[in-house]
Amino acid sequence: MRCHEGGSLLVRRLMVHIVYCAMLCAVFIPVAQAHSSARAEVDSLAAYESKHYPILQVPQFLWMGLVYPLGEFTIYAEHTRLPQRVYNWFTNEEHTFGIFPQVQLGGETGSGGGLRIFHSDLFSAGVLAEAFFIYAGERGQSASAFIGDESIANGKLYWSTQLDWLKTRNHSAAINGGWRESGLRLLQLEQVDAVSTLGWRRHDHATESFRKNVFIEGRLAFGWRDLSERFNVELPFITPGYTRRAHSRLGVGKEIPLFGIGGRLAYDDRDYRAPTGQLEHPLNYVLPGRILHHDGEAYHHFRDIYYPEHGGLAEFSFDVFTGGEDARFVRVGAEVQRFFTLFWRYRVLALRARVDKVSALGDDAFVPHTDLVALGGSQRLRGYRRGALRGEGGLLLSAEYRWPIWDTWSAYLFFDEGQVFDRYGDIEMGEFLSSYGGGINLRTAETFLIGLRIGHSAAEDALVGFTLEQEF
Amino acid sequence: MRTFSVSTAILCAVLFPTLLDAGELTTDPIKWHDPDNSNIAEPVEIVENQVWDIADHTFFFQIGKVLDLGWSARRLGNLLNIAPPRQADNVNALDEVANSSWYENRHFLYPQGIAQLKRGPGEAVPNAGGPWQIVAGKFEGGTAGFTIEDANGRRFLLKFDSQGNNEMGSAAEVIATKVLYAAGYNVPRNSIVYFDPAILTIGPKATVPTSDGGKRPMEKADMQGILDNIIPQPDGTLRCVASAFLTGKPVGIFNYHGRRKDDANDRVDHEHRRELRGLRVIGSWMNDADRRAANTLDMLVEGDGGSRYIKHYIIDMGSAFGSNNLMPHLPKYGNEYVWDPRTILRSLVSFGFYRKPWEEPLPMQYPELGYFENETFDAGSWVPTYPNPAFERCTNRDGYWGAKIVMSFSDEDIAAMVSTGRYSNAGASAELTRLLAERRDMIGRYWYARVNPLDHFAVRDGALAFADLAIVGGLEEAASTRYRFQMLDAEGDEVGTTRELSYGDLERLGVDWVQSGSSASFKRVASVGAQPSASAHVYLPLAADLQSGVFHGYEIRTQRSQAKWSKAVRVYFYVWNDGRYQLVRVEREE
Repeated sequence: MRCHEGGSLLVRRLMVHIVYCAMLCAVFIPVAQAHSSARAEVDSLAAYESKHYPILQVPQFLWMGLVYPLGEFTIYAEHTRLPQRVYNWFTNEEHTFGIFPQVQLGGETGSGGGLRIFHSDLFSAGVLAEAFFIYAGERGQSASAFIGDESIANGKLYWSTQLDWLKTRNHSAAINGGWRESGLRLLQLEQVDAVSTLGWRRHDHATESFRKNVFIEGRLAFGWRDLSERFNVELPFITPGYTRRAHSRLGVGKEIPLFGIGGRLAYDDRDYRAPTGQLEHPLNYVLPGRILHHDGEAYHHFRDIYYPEHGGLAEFSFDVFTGGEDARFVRVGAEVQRFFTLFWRYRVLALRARVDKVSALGDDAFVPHTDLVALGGSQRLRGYRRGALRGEGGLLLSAEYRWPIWDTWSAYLFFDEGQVFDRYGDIEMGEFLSSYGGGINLRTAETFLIGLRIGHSAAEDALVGFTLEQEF
Repeated sequence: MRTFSVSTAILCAVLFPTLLDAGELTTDPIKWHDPDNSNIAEPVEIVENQVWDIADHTFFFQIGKVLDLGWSARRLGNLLNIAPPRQADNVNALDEVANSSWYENRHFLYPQGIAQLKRGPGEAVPNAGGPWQIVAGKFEGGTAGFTIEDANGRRFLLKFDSQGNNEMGSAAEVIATKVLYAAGYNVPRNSIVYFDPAILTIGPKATVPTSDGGKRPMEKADMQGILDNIIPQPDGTLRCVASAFLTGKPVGIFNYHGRRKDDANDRVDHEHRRELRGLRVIGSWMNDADRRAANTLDMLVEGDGGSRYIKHYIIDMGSAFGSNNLMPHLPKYGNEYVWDPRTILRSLVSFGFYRKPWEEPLPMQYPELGYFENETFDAGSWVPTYPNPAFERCTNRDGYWGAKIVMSFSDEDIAAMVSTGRYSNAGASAELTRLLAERRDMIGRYWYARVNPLDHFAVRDGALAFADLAIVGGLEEAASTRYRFQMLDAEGDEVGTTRELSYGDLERLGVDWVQSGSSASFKRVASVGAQPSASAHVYLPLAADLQSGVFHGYEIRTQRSQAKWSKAVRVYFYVWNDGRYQLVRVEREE
């Protein structure tokens, strides 16, 4: 004890010394240096020399010591082209095939790690293939695989097959979005979704990203839902934000296979500008994201769909599913996005309206709990947690004001209104839930990197989150 | 109490040398040469780096700066207005820079003729008869090129313009070379050269880098790959910058802060060198936005008597004026750092209502000039692409020093230097000359307003002579200028009464003085609009009864058009017993 008290005293005295020295420095050094610099240097034939007070630089030296290894490593990496060599370690000589370690932060399974594998020229036919597996411990695992050809026979048709597998008992998974008050009532979900898509678009090849485009897709789907595992879920219980049918939690305790067929129609003229033979100003197309394409006759403007300034997107999709346990339903979705430049360049008002609806096909059919429409999370009704609102239908209205803060970075303020319902007739003006907030989107000239946001709603005072993708 | 006594004692021990540092007046010779060329052991090469240099100076160095308690205390003192900024460590008693391995006084103190300005450090023209053997490829940095050896065995680095930017980078490199040389810096010899590509051959030792960090012999396809990106001239020749290899052995870059530890001659922290601080102003004139450590070079050279010392060069001037080497400058260059937390924060909190003046690019009339304009130029807030420690320390005195060099170039001087860029369009040359002349005056107006721009002091023929650089440079009118003189003793205390004299008064004084037979060398101030000239002096006759054997001084303030009086400039001189005068010190208030 005595020793401890002595140590405390020593620390206190040391602190007093430091504070006192800092105060003296603050007063003495400027005065002293002011006195010296008020007069010019006395000339002599000796060489000039800077004066140093190493005792005052001790904190700086410590900092430099901490930073030194980082600096040396960075210089080493630059001179030995380390990033390129590391990339080479994980890829083949042509860089068409590679396996990389992957880290996931947050998401359906929570943070975890795994592997990603890709091939950009499968069968030497330009077919793309990519897959990853993430292990997040007891909270879950996920995997995904994609294979596709962006241009069948170098034409306007494209195909892809996407396979997603998810096993989660994570409390913040969408399936558990509204039940965070008790870890004892978590659902465990294992699901598979496989979708094969055949599509056609109006413009392809070099100018595809530069022109207005129309997409028509047809798709076949297979799904499997395993909600047989659960943890002390004593039904029924009330979850704020769920509709009556969502409270029924149909399908919980069952394994449900699903087969589906559907399609999508989209028109996209976000950020489109007509080709021109004369550039407005060459530097307008350097940043952010304004990469030009010149096809020999005209300049095409790159459409920066991560920061559109005008135009919009309209899309409609539908899918019909049938499967085991009387799970039969149809899902339709429609979305419109419009963008308007306000007062100056890059100050953008972005508007979005989206409606989703699933409906059981027949009196004895049902929509599995997993396939209900959910709101909340990083894209839809952003002041609520992922999956916090659930029903057979969902209506979302968003308004966002965006402005640039750096070359390819922007900030935004958003206001989202959303409502879940079971029947269209249930929609009421007074039932909309609001959320608002703001954030920052970081991106490069050509792709989205990360979005950081903070949102407020009736359920969350300040919900902080990030996203690696951008729906809108 | 004992605690405070110990602390105080330690600090006093540290700080008293500073307190005692106030220099006394002396008749010692003014130091015009800094002897930093003593023999040193061969230093280790400091390797150039791009990524860390940017990351360090943008983030880590900024934090470390605050952790230097001396710097922080001084900043606090600045904010409380009880201490001025730290001035440069290598200025002489006249507030000038001595010649050294870094710098040599040229155009401001010793005006150069047109031919000399055009010649700069000399020409770099390989033997046009060929063959030119490629001894190495240049793949680092922004511009691809070759190192060649001509028929005379001399080596040159050839750098080419990028596609779509013909003449832009090459002209910028050569013109900026001439400007920096005339300003006093060590630069390589750079010239515009046109050559027939058929005279190129690949040497046995030429290599190209591989993707795994290795090297392999250069092949014809590598050479052709570089040549294919160059637009030939109508006669089939290629245009490039030829840069002559510097004499000596390259030992790496120099940083704009700290000192080189293996160079005993390097005693002044680089951020406290006047010529590096003042380079900010010269850089702002040329929008030389890429002025950073990676674009410097230290050469181990042999001096008189066989001593070996390091000579410090500024290289790679291709990012000056409107050129950013491969492409035109972005409008933001010079106005903010590439990643600038100040403007990011301002943009963030303004919700988009803060509109940067340079957000909307201005028309580019001459593509060969790249993007160079004066409408958004602010001489006081110009910055390079990322923080430069020496530029950050630039005080008003340093800025004034740089500005008076910039202002020393007449329109004809500028045109002469611009002509070395060999633009094929005469309109482009004229436009660059115009922009530089305008920009020069903007720089002069800004910095001359922050110190009293009286310079070229001399005490001779019984008069204190000086040039009012603002009038000499045509920025102010002599007719509306007044001066306030206060005599000082050796301690800087006021002696006698203050006199206020207009330019007209000075003229009458001069005439009386001439008529009284004191001197026949009275000269009028040059008329408004005249080009800079060291001979355009104002003469203030001194009292005939000045005590000899002691120091005297004058404090002079200037007033323009009834505006408030300027900061003071104090000039001290010594009167010898035989009646000679000796100028001993110039102090500038800022």
